Order: sequence, then structure tokens, then C-alpha cells
Amino acid sequence: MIVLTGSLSLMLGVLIWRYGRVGLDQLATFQLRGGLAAVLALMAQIVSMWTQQHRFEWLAVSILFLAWFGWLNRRHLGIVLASVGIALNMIVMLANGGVMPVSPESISRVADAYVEPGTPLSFSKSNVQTAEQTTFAWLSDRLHLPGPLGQLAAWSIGDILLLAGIWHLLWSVMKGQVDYARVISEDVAAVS
Amino acid sequence: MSHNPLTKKAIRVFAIIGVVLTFMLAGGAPSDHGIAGFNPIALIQQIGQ
Repeated sequence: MIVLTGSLSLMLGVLIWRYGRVGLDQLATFQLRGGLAAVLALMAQIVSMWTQQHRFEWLAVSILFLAWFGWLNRRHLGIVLASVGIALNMIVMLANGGVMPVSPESISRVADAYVEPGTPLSFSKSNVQTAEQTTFAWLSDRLHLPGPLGQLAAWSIGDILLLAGIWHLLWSVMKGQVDYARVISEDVAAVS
Repeated sequence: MSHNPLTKKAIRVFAIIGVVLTFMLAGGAPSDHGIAGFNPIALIQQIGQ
């Protein structure tokens, strides 16, 4: 969770540095639909992480809200790309009982400690398990940044697509490439 | 509620960033436990116990 917050801060920092106040003005006029769905999706996952009970069921609830949010905002290419990444994360989590698998090798690189396979990480979506124990291991958290940055986190392919989608969303908004005429016409069509 | 346009703009920026961050946290799942040897949430849980 910390690295996602840091990644978003980094993206915003770069975009504000590049586009300045104009970029912030563009961001202030931007709208996403269904923010409540995103909040409810996160709440379901917080309950899952906090209690570590019924993780598959809570994940399924969270997926419904995330799909709702993605559908409401499907006109934004960045949200579509991010939703594909989230779908990949959800596939591997559903196939592994509602948790994101991470190998002992990956977690030792991140936390500099050996963790026994089968151990759920506290207040996290991650569960330590070997590749042999993991369904769709290629979608699990197994990617690291090069060098010392590799200690920051283990990432999944879905996480990379999610970050790429959010970058595209923020970049297209802050540089002012959203086709507002099309968005408004779609809104009018939806209302009428 | 402030009627200052700048304040309204700042509130709107923080609101949209909040929604984007919430979406990211709900959908993303990087394993960052023990980042730089420090996980404040785990620490809070340990203190609570």
C-alpha cells in the first residue's frame, strides 16, 4: 500500500513539475464517476486484510465494486488499462483463495528475511507461497525494480498495468487532452 | 464551506486524487511488507497487542 501511495505521489510530482498550474487546473475540472464504488471496494479489502477471514468472499465483493467503477469510467483509456491490470490481479487472487501469492525468494529480497511458505503477511493482501503452490504464478508478485530499488516491493504484471493506466489517465488530464466535447455529449445522451 | 475559488479548486484536486488513490489501493497488490525495514501499519498492530 505504501508503494502505491508513493508511486501516485511521484507521478503527480512529475506531472506538476511538467505542466504546473495549468495541469492542476485541468485536474480540478476532471471528474470520475462512482467514487463510492472505489471506496466500498477498498473497505471490503480492508476488512479482509484486517480479519484475515473469508478472504475469497471479501475479494469477490471488492471485485463487484471495482467492476462497477471501471464500467462507469470506461470512456477513459487510462481507467480501461488500469482495470485490465486489476483484473489480472483479481484472477490470480481468486485462483489462490483470495490472496496475492508472493514467493519466499521475493519476500526475502523485499524484507531481507526468510518467511515460511503459507504465512499471510499482516495487514496485507499477500500470502507467502512457493511457485509450486501457486496457481497462475506468472501473475503473482514476482517482479522487482533493478538494483537497490528492488527492495521497495515485489510487483505483479497487473500492478504494472495499473500504474501505466493511472499514469496515462493523469497525463492525459493534466496535459489537457481529454475530449470534453465527447464526454459532455455522452453525459447528455445518458441523461436524455 | 469556502467560496474562495482557489480553495474550491484545491478541494476538487484533492478529491480526484483521493478517488484515484482509493481505486489504486483497492486494485493493486504489490508486496511491500517491510519496506525499508519499516511498516507503520504492522507496527501499530504490534503496539495494539
